[in-house]
Amino acid sequence: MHPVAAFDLVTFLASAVALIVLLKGWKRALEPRAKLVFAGLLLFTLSYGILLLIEWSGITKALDRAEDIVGALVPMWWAFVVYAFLAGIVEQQLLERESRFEDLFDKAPVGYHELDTEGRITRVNRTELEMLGYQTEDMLGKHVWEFYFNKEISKQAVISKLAGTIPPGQAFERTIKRVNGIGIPILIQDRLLYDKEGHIRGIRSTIQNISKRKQIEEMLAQERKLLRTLIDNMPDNIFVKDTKSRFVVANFAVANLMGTTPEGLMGKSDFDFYPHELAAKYYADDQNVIQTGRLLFGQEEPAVDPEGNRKWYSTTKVCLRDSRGQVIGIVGISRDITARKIAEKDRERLMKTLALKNEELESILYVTSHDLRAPLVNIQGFSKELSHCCDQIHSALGDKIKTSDIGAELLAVLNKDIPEALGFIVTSASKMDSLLSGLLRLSRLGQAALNIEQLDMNAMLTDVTKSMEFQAKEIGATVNIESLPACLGDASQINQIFSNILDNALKYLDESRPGVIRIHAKTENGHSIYCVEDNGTGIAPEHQNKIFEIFHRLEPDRKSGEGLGLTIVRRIIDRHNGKVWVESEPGKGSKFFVSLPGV
Amino acid sequence: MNYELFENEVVMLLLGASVLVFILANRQKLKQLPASNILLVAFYTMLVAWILTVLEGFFYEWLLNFIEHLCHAISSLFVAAWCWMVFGRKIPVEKEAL
Repeated sequence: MHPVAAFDLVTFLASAVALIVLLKGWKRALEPRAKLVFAGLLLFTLSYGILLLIEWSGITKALDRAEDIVGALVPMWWAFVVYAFLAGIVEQQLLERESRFEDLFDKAPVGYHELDTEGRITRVNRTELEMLGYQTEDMLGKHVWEFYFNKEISKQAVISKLAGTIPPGQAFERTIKRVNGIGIPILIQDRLLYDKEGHIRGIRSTIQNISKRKQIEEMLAQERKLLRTLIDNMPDNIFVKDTKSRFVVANFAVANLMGTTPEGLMGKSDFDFYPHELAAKYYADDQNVIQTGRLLFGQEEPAVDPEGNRKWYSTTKVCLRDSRGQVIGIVGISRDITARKIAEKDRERLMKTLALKNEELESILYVTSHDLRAPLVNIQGFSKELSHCCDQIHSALGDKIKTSDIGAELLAVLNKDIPEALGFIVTSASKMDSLLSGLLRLSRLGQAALNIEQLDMNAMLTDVTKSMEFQAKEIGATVNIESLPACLGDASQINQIFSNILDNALKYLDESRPGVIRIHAKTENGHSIYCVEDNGTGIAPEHQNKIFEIFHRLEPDRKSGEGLGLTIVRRIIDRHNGKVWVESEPGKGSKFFVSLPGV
Repeated sequence: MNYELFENEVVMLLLGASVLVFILANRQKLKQLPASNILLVAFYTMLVAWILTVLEGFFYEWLLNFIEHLCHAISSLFVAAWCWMVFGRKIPVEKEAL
């Protein structure tokens, strides 16, 4: 076969295959007209192919003319094909556009209807039908006002708009009747439709269901009412001012203070009610909050009520901002603290009086304890003198007294009664001297100035322990000191505290077992808490609250002392803003805790 | 040299050229056709064949004639391929409606 004839055979076969595929898949793709035209092209190509095949195979020359004609028809048919396809595309586009428009109209998020010049509905979309529950035929041709609850008003409005007497455009609310008779609030917006001559030919309206909005509005109104009730009935002053410090909201408390009503305050400022100096201060505070945006919290400020009484208020002011964050004013709350201020002043006065009385008492204590010692020294001195005199009388009388009648009786007085009485006087005077010394020390404590410094408690307790080493060895006691944190205090007075406590611990050890005293500490909430723990006799619960009282002693007959040691401890700790307490169990031992400010 | 010009071949070429102009003018719209590139290649190949039909009357008669018939065959194969893509198998939904 000639190679050209082979190509023609391919042309023929390919066209035949294409035609078969087209016919088999006829239902798929393209519109019928385009497919028919394309089938024509395939037929011509097929025919052209077979005619060329015949020509080049040399079977006959009779079909040459036909081949020329068919060959010329092929490009022409291509033109038809392209045109048919284009037409199909354009038509499809139009259909799509129309479909999109219908879709947009029917599925618009708002209801939509058109009225003719009589106010009858000529067109209505699916959204509106679904919103109201009607079918298209229920609405078309009916007057629109038949669907509203307030028919007459609606009718007049529609007619006026169609007559051109009321310009449409403004959105308005109506209640429309659903198919089940229930009304729903809607928002309507109208546009007039004109014909080519400019005459009104109808109205086009959009409607929106605003039931939810109405519900929210009602809820908001209710919440606003609740808030207003709360604000109005609060005993505190609540107010809102604009950026020029003019009242925009105020409750009754504010209004009462200013001698007016909440409405009477609107648009006015503090300058309209208060003396200029006071109002200027309030204004300056307001402007400071507005300009800096900072909260003014609990500022105590004076005010004057309508009767001219001076009052005190604790005021908090905060910036009020709009949704964009712009400052639009301030919100303020102020509380009447006049009673508290008066109480504070009273307390201050009482504290001063108390301090003065304390000073006076300490002075009396000091003077008394100091001055009483002088006569006491006389009592002690002259008691010794009296004793000496008795001895002299006894020597002067000598043996004579033994022979006289009254000698035996006088001898008994000289040898027994007088020395015994003098012994009581000396012992009592000595005890009184000891007590007066203790009182003197106590009074001096209150007068001595404190030199607060950081204290190395390890070193201090080591020194204190060393000073009592002899006493401890004598009774066979051991003192263990663990690592101690530093604290703040006056060195000599803190030393006094631990000396007194350790002295007590050694004094009240249990003789039946070896004495062990342990000193340890911990840090808690910025305080150093020291503990002196012993295994002594312990303190009965009923005595634990009394041991810090002045002159209180646990075993006055057995142990020496004035009962001032722990009183002095508490006094010193009070002056250091510290705390002292005891935990004890009789027969097991005691723990004395001392809390002092930490470093 | 013996020049030979056949009217029917010239008519075919002119018609084909007109269709080409039409296609180029509506190229964007024709792109919406499914597998439009294959169909257009088929047309362009056919157009080459028509040009060669005219040219073979002037020079390289045998060679140009050979290529011309080859172009006819190729064009038919592209058309068959396009038919297969559009009607022989499932095509994307958005173009199925055309």
